[in-house]
Amino acid sequence: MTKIDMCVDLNGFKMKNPVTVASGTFGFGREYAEYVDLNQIGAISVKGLTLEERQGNPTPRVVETPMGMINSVGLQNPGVEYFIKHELPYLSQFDTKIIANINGNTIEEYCKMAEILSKTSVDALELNISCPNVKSGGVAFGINPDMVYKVTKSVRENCGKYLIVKLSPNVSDIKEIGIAAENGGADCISLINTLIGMGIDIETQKPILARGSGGLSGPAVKPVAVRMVYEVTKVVNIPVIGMGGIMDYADAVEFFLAGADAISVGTANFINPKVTMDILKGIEGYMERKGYTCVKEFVGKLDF
Amino acid sequence: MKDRLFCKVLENIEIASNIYKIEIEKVEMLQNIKAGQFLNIKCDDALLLRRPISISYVETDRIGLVIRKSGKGTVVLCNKRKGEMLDVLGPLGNGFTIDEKEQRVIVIGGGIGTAPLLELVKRLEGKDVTVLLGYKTEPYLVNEFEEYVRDVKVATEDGSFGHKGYVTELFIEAIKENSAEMVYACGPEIMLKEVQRICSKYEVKSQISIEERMACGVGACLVCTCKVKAEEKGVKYVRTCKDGPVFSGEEVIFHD
Repeated sequence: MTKIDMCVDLNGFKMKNPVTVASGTFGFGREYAEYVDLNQIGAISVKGLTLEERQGNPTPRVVETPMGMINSVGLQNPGVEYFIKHELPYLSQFDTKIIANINGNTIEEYCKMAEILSKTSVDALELNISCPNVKSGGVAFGINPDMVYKVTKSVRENCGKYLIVKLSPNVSDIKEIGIAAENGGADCISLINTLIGMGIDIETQKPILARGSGGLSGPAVKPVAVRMVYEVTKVVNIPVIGMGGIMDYADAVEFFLAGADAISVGTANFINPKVTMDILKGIEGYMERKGYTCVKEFVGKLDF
Repeated sequence: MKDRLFCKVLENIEIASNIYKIEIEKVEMLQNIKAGQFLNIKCDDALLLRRPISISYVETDRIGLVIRKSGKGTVVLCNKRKGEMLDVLGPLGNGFTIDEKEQRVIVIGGGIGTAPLLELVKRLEGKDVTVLLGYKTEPYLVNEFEEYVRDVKVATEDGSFGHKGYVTELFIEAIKENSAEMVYACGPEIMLKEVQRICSKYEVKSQISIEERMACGVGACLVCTCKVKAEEKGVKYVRTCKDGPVFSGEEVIFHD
């Protein structure tokens, strides 16, 4: 029997396997290190960073919906400098790729962060132009192709690292957003971020989340995510990391078949802290069953 | 490494209207439980998120949970039958701190907030303990508290049992009669706010266990934040699940 090779190479960004964890669902790795051997994860996208510390939104910040959850954390994070000093050294002890997810209010802030982080040992930057939970910046940059191009290009010029652009699904045509990111100089695209959603308490007649709306994630968004990965991978020539509601290996395989080169697990971590390992084993089992020796053999293999 | 644990339901009985006592098997990995810690429980395949449920008491072979049937998750939990398996993460959270030097303590619980105080009271053995329990109408767990503490007083809002009124009224009386070195409290926010005010007035230290909507339960997702006083910046957000659920009463800043 031929040995299965789980390594993936996303145009120079090499990971030991295609299973990564999504920003905002894994903190800075510390909490889950008690449950999972972080060395076994392909890459960790850390909690979204901003230039300065952010306290985030008031609570309630979460509401469960049918097979999903809406969060409104609002990018609570200790700031990029704190991350570099106190979290990065911890994460660096593990043999996994570290992706710094960056968020700015302005293009200048994105660039400044890219510049700062390019001098560190992070392996890649993930440009978050899709956070729905902040007043300025975030998703505002991600819904207009011209803005996506502009912010990606500016960051590209200040970034010495592999650059991933994370797309918002809250757009009318995801394809043109993907193309804009590629034209701006992205090395890779990750999608989807959360879909904007809302939940209402019918007794108080108020929104459940303190901020009204938030980002919907979990199995409820998976079909949207798979479709968007399919559409984007058809029109761009850079690698794509697919995510959105992946709960098990079968969900992950759907994303690969749709065209994703790697996948990211988010909300599922909350339910099963070891889920990444189950997904990894499941993908291996699928490959064995189908006779694949490397992941590339079934990326985009959708018969349609 | 830690993992999800699968525990068998050993017993489930309704001990008061909509209040269920569920005992689950204390599997080997469920060790070193502190009073005030919680389990994050996957109630059902149809419900995505786990539900944080405080540990009410711990015995050699079992863990007791006392749950108020209220939302979708607790409805499913309260319908679990003997023999069914529960998928739990835990024990999670910091739990109450017990200081050997403190001899005189007051424990105040309101409604379902009385549940986690039972294990605490067990572990306060040897101290001069007053337990004050408040309910809307129907009391529960009173006998269980009385097994460990002689001085247990009950308040009900409608006067159907014990003092008519709020448990915080009993608290003021108790503190005036014999102040305490530490106050432990768990209950609705309105009660905790009042406990906080009274403790500040009478200059008594307190530990309060708070409740917040959670997702991961392990400190990663940051949805369950609680506002506390911070030295430099005035306020900071901490994680109810990981840094709490027990906080020093002086530091918690409640919603307005």
